Amino acid sequence: MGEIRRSVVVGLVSGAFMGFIDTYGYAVTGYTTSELAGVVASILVLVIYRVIYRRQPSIFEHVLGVVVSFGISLSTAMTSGMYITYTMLAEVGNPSALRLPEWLYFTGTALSPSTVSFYLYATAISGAGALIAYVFHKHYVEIEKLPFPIGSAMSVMIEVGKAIRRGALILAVSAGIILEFAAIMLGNPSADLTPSMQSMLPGSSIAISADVFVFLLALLLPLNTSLGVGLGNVVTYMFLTPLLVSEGLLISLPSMSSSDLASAAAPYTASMIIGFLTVSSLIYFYQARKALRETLRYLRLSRYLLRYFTASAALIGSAALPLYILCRPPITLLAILPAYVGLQLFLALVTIKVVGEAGTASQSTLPVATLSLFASGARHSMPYVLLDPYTGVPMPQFVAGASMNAIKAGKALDVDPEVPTFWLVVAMLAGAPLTLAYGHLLLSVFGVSSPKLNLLRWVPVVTWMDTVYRGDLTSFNAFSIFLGAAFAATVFIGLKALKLGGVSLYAVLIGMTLTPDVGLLFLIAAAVKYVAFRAGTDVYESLLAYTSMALAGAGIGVALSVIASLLGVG
Amino acid sequence: MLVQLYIIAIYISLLLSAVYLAMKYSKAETIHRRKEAVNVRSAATRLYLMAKLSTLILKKPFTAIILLTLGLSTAAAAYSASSTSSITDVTKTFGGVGEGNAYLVELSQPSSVDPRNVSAFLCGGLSSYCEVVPFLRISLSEPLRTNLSKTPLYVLIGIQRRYYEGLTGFRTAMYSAPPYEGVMAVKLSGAGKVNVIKVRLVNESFVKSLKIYGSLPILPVEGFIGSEPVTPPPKYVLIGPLDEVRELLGAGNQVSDVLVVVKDRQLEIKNLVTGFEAMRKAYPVKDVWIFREGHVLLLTDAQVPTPSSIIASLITAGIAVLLSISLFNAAVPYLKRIYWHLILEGFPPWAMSVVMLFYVSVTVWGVGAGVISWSFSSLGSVSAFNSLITTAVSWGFLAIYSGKALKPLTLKTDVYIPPTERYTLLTTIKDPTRLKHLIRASLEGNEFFDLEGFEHAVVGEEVVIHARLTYKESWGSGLDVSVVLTPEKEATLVTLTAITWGIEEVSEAVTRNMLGLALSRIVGVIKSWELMPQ
Repeated sequence: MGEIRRSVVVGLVSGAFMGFIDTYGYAVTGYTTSELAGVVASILVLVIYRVIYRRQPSIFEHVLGVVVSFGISLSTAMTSGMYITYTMLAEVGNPSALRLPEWLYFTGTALSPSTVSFYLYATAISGAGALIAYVFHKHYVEIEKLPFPIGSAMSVMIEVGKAIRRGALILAVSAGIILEFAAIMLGNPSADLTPSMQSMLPGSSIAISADVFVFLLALLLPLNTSLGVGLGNVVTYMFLTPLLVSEGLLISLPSMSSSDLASAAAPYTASMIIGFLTVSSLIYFYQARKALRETLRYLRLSRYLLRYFTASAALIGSAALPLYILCRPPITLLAILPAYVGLQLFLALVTIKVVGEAGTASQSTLPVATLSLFASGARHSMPYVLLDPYTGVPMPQFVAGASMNAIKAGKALDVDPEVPTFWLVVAMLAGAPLTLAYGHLLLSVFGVSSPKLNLLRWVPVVTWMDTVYRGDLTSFNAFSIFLGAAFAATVFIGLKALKLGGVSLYAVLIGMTLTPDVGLLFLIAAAVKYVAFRAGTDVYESLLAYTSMALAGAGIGVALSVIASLLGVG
Repeated sequence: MLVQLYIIAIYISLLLSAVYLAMKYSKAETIHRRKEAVNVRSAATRLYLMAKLSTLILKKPFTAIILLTLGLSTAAAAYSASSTSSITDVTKTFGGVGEGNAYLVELSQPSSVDPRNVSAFLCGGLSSYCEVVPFLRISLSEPLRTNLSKTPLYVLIGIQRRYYEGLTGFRTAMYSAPPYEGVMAVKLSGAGKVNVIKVRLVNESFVKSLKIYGSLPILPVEGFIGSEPVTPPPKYVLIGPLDEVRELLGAGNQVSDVLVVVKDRQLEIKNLVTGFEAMRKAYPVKDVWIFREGHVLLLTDAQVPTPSSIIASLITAGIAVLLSISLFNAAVPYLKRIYWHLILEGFPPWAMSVVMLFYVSVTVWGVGAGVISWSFSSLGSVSAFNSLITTAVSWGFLAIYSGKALKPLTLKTDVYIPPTERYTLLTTIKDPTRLKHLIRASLEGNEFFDLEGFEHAVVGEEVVIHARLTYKESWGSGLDVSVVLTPEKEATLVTLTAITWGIEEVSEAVTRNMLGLALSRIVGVIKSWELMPQ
C-alpha cells in the first residue's frame, strides 16, 4: 500500500503541474502536447519522488507515478482544451444560431454545476478508449508487435534513465531544455520559400523550421515511419495542394507563407484524410484479417474482455440519452446511432494502429466521424459536442492511443497492463475537475481579449467548426475525398513496387496532417536513424535513449517558457 | 436535471469502478519484484572509429581546397542571382471589380508615410490624374473595451473622411452592437486612457458588405479557408474617419494602406513593377492590389528567381562539382589504403560509405550553410535560394561520386545457412531430464544472453521447455525459445522454436544474429555431449 500511496502522491503533484502547462500551452498556441506528457512525466516523477522521499522509486512506483501524471495531462484535451475552444467559437461565431449552450463555454461567471458535470461526463466517455486499448493490447503489442514509440520512450526513460551516468543524463536533458526554451523565446530558425514557389508551382510549399520538439519526436519514431511521415508531407505540399489550386478550391497568393497555405488547405486536408483513411483502413483490415479474426474469437471466448469491450461501447452509446433530451436530433441521426458507435470503435482501433506506428495520432483519423455525423443530418452544435471526437468533447480514440502507449511502457517494464489502464482512467477522471478549473482560471484571469490568448489567432480554426455546425455543404469536398483515396491507392501500389513495405500508409497519413515546414525534419531524422542503425545496436539504442531524455528536457523547456510567459518575460 | 443526474451517475460509477480495479491489480503488482539494474553499454566503438576517420580526412589539405572551391562557387551563385516581383491574377477570389482603375498599396506595418508620395512612386507623371485615399487598419494586441458591449474591440479601421462618408453615408464612426440603430456616445478604454466618441450602431451585415475597392473587403483578411477570405467578425471592429481613429490610437499621421484611384479609366500606368521596386526601397510595402479592366491582380514583394538566375546557379554547381571531384580523385588512393588497413582490423565494409557521406555532407553543407546565411542577410532571399541550389546539387553529385569511388566490398561466404526460427534434431540422448539440464546449462553460461526465465513442464512423455533470453548487446531485445523433447524409439526428437522480440525496432541483421547465436548454442551443446564418450 505504501508504494501505491507514494506513487499516487508524486503522480498527482507532477500531473497537477503538467496539466496547467498543457492547458496554458493549448490556450496560447491551439496545440496540445499532452500526448507526449508521459515522456516528460518520467523525468518529473523521478525528480519529485527523490525530493519528497529522499530515495529512488522502484520500477513499479515510477511507472505508476508516470501513469497518474500522464492521465491528468490527458484530461486537459477533453476539459480545459475544449472549454477554451468553445469559448473562442462562442466569441467568433453566433452561439444562438449554432445553439451552443451557455454551460459549454466561459461566460464570465463562476463554473456552473452543468459545466462541471458535462465535462466530467465527457471525460468518462473518453475513458472508454482506455478500456478498448486494454481489450486489444495483446493484439497490437504482442501479435502485430507495433513499436509504440512514445510508450517505448517512456520505458527507456524509466529504466535506462536511472542507470545512465548522471552527467550524461543532465547533459541530454539540459540540451533539450535550452534548445526548446530558446526556440520558444526567440522563435524557431526557419526558411520559407513558399511565397516564391507560388509563381512557379501555385499551391506548393517548401519550408523548413528547426522545431526541436518535432525533430526529437521524429528521431524516436521507427526509421520507416519517419520516412513515411516525411514523404507524406512533401508529396501533400508538392502535388496535392497544387492540384487543389488548379481545381480552384484553394487560393495561392504570393504573400502566403507555409502556415497560411496549410491553414487555407485545412478543410480540404480533412476531406483528403477521409478518402485516404478509408482506403488505407480497408487495406489494413484486409491484410490483418487473420490476426484480427483470432483476436475477435479470443474476445468472444474471454468473458472478462468481452465485458470491458461491451462497457466501452455502452459508455460511448450512453451519449444518446442526453443527446435526445437536449436537442431532439433528426430521425436519420437516431437511426444511424448504433452504426455510429460501431464506427467510433473502429476508429479507436485505427487510431491505436496509427499511434503504434507513428507515436502520436493527434486527430488525424477523426474527420471520418465528423463527416458521418454531417451526412446523417446532424446540425447545430449539440450532436457534435456529444458525439464527434474531432470537434466535440468525448475523445475515446485519442485516449485509446495514449493508453496503449502507457500499456506498452508498462509491458516493457514487466508491469501488468491492468495497472496503467485503470490508473490512467482514475487519473483522467480525478484530474478532470482540476484541469477544467485551470481552463476557467486562465479565461477568468486573462479573458478572451488578452494578448496572451489572442482571439484572432483562433478565427480560421473555429470558422470551419462554425460551417460544419451550420450544415454548410462546402465543409466537405467530394473531389478532395476522392483525391485522398487515389493518393492512398497510389502510395500503396508505389510502396509495393519499390519494395518499401516497411513504410506504413498511416505514417504517410500523419505526414499529410502536418504543416509543410516540418516534413523535411522527418526525412533528416530518417537519414540520421539510418546511419545509427548501420553503426550498430549500441549506437542506435544510445540515440534513442538520449533522444528520449532530450525530449523530456524539451517538455520541461515548454513548462519553463510558460512560467516565463506568466511572469511577463518574452 | 435528469440529464445532469444521469451523467454524474455515469462519471461516479466509472470512477469508483476504475479505483477498485486499479487498487486490486496494483496490490498484486507490489508483491512482484523486478530486476532494477540495467546494463547500459557505453562503448560505441564503431561510431568512435568512424568519427576518428572522418576527422582525419577532414583535416587533410585537399579538404581545405575543396571547401574553398565550394565556398567560391556558392558565393558566385549568390551574386549571379536575379529576380522579379510576382504578379498573380486573383480575380476568381476577389472578382466583381467592374470597370474601375485603381491601385491599393498595403504596407507591412502602419508607418508615417505621405500618401501623395506613394502615388508619385506608382503613377509617376500621371499623379495629377489620381485620387489618393489613405487608410489605417490596425489589429490590436490589447483590445479596447466599450461600455456598450462585453465584446472588446480588436480591429480599428480609419478611412479618409470624404471616402468614408461616400462609402457609408455616415459622418460619425460606426460599430456593430445592439440595438443596431441610432447614434450613441461610447466610452472606449484601453492602453491606460479613456476616450468618448460618437458612434452609429449598425448591423453586422452592413460592416461585412463594405469594400475598400471592387470586392476587396474593408475588414483585414486574417487568412483563407480554401479560397474564401476569413475576416474578423464585425462585432470586434470599429470603423471611422481616419482623423478620429488616429486620435483614438495616438497614431500621429500613420497609414497602413493607400488607395490610388485613377480618375480616367483608360489611363494605364506604365512601369508599374519598376515603381513598385522603387517604392519598396523607400517604404515597408507589402503588396499592391491592382484593379483594372475587370481583373484583380496582386503584385507582391515575394521575389521569384528568373530562369537565367537558376541556370547560373546550376552552372556554378557544375563547376564546383567538376573541380571538387578532380581534387577528391587525387585523394582516393590514400583513402582506399586506409580503408584496407581498417578492414583487416575489423572495420565493417559499409562504414566507409557512411564516413564518406558524413565527410561530403559536412564539407558541402558546412560551407554552404555559411554562404547561404551570409547571402540571405546581405543579398536577399533569391541569392540565398541560388546558393541553396548550388549547394544541394554539389552535395548530391559529390555524395554519389564519393560513394561510387569507395564502394564497399561485397562479402561472400562459401557456405551460408540462413538462421532459422525452427530447428529439429534427433539425438541419441534418451533421458529428457539430462537433456533439459544440458539446455539450461547452455543458456545460463552464455556470453551473449542473460537467462531471464526458464520453465518446463512434463506433458505425458514429452517435456516442454520455455526460456526467455535477453540480448546482452542491447537492453530491450531478446528471444523466447521453446523446446519440445519427444522420446522416440532409440532417440529423442528435439524441436526448437525461437521468436525474437524487441522493445525498439531491431534490424534484420541483429535479429538473425540473435537467432543464430541462441539456436547454435543449444544445438551445439546437445551435439557435443552426444559425441563425448559415454
